[in-house]
Amino acid sequence: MKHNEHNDITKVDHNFEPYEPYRPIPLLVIAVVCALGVWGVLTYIGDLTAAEQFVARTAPVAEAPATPAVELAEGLNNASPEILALVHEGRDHVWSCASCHGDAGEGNATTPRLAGQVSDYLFKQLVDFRDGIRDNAHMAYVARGLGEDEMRELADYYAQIRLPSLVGPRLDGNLERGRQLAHEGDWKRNVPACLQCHGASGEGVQPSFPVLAGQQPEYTFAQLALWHADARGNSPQQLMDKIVQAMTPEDMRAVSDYLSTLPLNREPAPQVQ
Amino acid sequence: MSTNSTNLGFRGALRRFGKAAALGLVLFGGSAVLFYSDGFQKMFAAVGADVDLPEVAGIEVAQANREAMHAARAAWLEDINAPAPSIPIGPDGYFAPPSEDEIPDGPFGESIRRGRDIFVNTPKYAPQYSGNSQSCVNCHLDAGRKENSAPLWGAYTKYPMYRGKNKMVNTYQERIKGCFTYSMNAQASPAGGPPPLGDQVYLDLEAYAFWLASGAPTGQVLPGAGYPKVPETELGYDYNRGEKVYAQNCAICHGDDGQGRREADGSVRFPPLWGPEAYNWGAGMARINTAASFIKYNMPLSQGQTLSDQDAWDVAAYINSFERPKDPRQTGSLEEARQTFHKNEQSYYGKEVRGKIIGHGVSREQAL
Ligand code: HEC
Ligand code: HEC
Ligand code: HEC
Ligand code: HEC
Repeated sequence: MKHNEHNDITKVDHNFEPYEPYRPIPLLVIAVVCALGVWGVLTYIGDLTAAEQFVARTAPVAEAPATPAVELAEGLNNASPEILALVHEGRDHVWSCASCHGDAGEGNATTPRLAGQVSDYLFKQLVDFRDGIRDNAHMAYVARGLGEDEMRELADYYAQIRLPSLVGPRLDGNLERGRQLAHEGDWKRNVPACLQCHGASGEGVQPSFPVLAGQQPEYTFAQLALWHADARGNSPQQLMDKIVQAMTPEDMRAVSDYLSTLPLNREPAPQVQ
Repeated sequence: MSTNSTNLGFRGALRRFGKAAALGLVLFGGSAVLFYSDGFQKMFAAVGADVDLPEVAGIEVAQANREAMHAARAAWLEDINAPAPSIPIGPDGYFAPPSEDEIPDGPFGESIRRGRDIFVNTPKYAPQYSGNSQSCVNCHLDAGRKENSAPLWGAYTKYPMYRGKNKMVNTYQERIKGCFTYSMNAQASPAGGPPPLGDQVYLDLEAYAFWLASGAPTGQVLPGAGYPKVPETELGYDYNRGEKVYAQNCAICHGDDGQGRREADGSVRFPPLWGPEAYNWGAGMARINTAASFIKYNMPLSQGQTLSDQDAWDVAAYINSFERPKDPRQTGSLEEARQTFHKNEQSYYGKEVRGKIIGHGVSREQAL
C-alpha cells in the first residue's frame, strides 16, 4: 500500500471525519428523557407523600373497625361453601373478594362497601365489569373469572349482609350543601335530589338504584368524578352522567361526605333458608 | 456506528450527558413554570378554546337575586325615589321562589311548613283525603317550584280565574279541590271526597303557595307557569308506538307494569302511572295532550326535553291506555259521562283499546 501514497484511495485517512461524528442519540432527546425522568421522580415522591397523608388522615376510621366490622355484621355465613370460598380464598383467576372489599364486605376508601347493597345492582356491575362497559382493570380481571351463576350468588350474598354504617365524612366537604343536594337537589342545574332516586334514606330502591348510605365517601366521590369526566359509562339511560356533569367538584365532595353521615336503619337480616 | 461513538471517549460522553441533563432540567423547570403560571390555559384561551368544563350556575344565583330583591324592598320603603324591586329570577331566567331555609318562624311559618308537608307527602299528611298513592309533588316537581311543571308560584298569582272545567270563576282553593278530586282520587279516601272549602288542608297549602310566590307579579302569566303545550305531530298519537318508548325510557322507575316502585318500608318512591293507585279518569293527566306536555318537559326525571315530541305523545297515549280509578262525576252510564265530560278531549275515556272499552274504572278492592 505504501507505494501508492499520492492519489490512491488507500491514502484516505480513516480517522478523518468531514462531518460531526455520528451520534446515535441527539442531545435534545437525551434532554427530554432527563426532563421526563425528573418529572417522574417528583410525581412518585408526590404520590407517596399524598398516600401517606391520606392514610394518616383516614387511618383512625379505616383501621379501627377492622375487627368490629366482622363482629357487627349479620349473615356472613349465609351462602354455599363454594361462594364463601370465593369470597375468602378466591380461585386461580379470581382473587378473593374479601382481600379488597373486607371480610364483611365493608370496603375501604376507594374500594366500595358491598354489604347490604341492592342485589340486582351488584349483579349488573359484575356483568358490566366483565363486558368492559364499566371500566376497572382489577374488577374486570376478577369478573372474567366468574360464571354468571356465581355472580348472581355473590350479589345475593353481599346484598343480604346486615352491617351498620361504619363511615363518616372524611373529605372536608360542605355538609350543609351536601344535605341540600341529597334532599332537595339543585334544580336550577337540573340536579334532582339524590334521594329521590336512591331512596328517601339513601338505602336504595330495588332493582336499579344502589344504596348510598354507609358507602365509603372516597369511593362515592371517585365514582362521581368518573361520571363527571365521562369515564363511567354504565349508568342506565345515562341518568348519573347528566346529573354529575352539572355538579362542581366541591358539590361532589359535599354530597359524598353528607351521604356518609346517613345511618343504615334497615331491618335485621332476614333468616335465609 | 459504535466505533464512531467510541470516538467521543468516555469523558466526552459524560460531558454530553451532563449537557443533556442540564438542558433537561431547564426544559422541565421551564415547562413547570409555564404550567403553574396558567400559561397553557392562557395560551389556549387566546386561541379561543374552552379550557375548563363550563361551570353551570345554579341555585346560588337565584338566592343572590332574591337577596337583592329583599334589599331593594327595604330601600324602597325608606325612600320612594329608590328603584322599585325587580322580579327575582334564577340563572335560567325563570322566577326564583324562596328556598326552604327562608320559611319564617311563628304561626305563619308553621302553616307554610304544614302546607309543604302535605304537598310533598300527601298520603302521610292528609291521609283522610288521599285515595291513591300520589302526592302533589309527583306532578308539580321540586316541591312545587320547578318551571314547566305547573309550579305553585306560577299558579297562585293567576287566581281567581275562569275555568272551562266547571264554567265559573274559581278561587285558588277551588282549583286545589280539583286536584284532590281527580289527581288524588279523593273518592277512595277515608273521607270519601275532597276536603270541604275552608278546610285547614287548603289554608296550609295556600300559605305555602303564597309564600313560594313572594316576589311574583299578579295579573301576569309568568314564563314557566303551567305545562307548556307540545305541538301536535303529523303521525298523531299511538299507544302501540308508545309501548316501546315506555320500555326504553320509563320502566326503570315506573315499572314494567306501571305500578311504580316502593321502598322497603312501603312508601312510594316512583309513582304508579295507572291502576287503582294512580290519578283517576277525571284528572288533567288522563288527557293525552296534558300528559304529553308534562312528560316532554319533566320526564325522564332530570332529563326533561330530551324526548322528541312524537315520543312524548306516544308514551302519554300509552300510559293513559290502561284502566285507572273511575271518573267521580260518572253517575249514569259510561257513555253518558263520556258525552258530558269527555267530549272533544284527547283521551281514551269510553273508547275501545286493545279490544275493550275502557273508562269503567278500577278500584283498590277490585285490584285485590
Ligand atoms: C384487587 C382488589 C379487588 C378484588 C380482589 C375484588 N374487588 Fe370488587 N372492586 C374493587 C374496586 C377497586 C372496585 C371499584 C371499581 C371502580 O372504582 O370502578 C370494586 C367494585 C366492585 C363492585 C361494584 C360495587 C358498586 O358499588 O358499584 C362489585 C359488585 C364488586 N367489586 C364485587 C367483587 C366481588 C364479588 C369480588 C370477588 C369475586 C371482588 N369484587 C373482588 C376491588 C376489588
Ligand atoms: C334520576 C335518578 C338518579 C338520581 C337523581 C341520582 N342518581 Fe345516582 N344513580 C342512579 C342510577 C340508575 C345508578 C346506577 C348506575 C349503574 O347501574 O351503573 C346510580 C348510581 C350512583 C352511584 C354509584 C354507586 C356505586 O355503588 O357505585 C353513586 C355514587 C351515585 N349514584 C350518587 C348519586 C348522587 C350523589 C346523586 C345526587 C347528586 C345521585 N346519585 C342522584 C340514578 C340516580
Ligand atoms: C297526577 C298528577 C297531579 C297531582 C298528583 C296533582 N296535580 Fe295539580 N295539576 C295537575 C294537572 C295536570 C294540572 C293542570 C295544569 C294545566 O292544565 O295546565 C294541575 C294544576 C294544578 C294547579 C293549578 C296550576 C295552574 O297553573 O293553574 C294547582 C294549584 C295544583 N294543581 C295544585 C295541586 C295540589 C295542591 C295537589 C295535591 C293535593 C296536586 N295539584 C296534585 C296534575 C296533578
Ligand atoms: C329516573 C326515574 C324516572 C324515569 C326514568 C321516569 N320517571 Fe316519571 N316520575 C319519576 C318521579 C320520581 C316522579 C314523581 C316526581 C316527584 O315526585 O318529584 C315521576 C312522575 C311522573 C308522572 C306524574 C304522574 C303521577 O302519576 O304522579 C308521569 C305521568 C310520569 N312520571 C311519566 C313518565 C314517563 C312517561 C317516563 C318515560 C318517558 C318517565 N316518567 C320516566 C321518575 C321517573
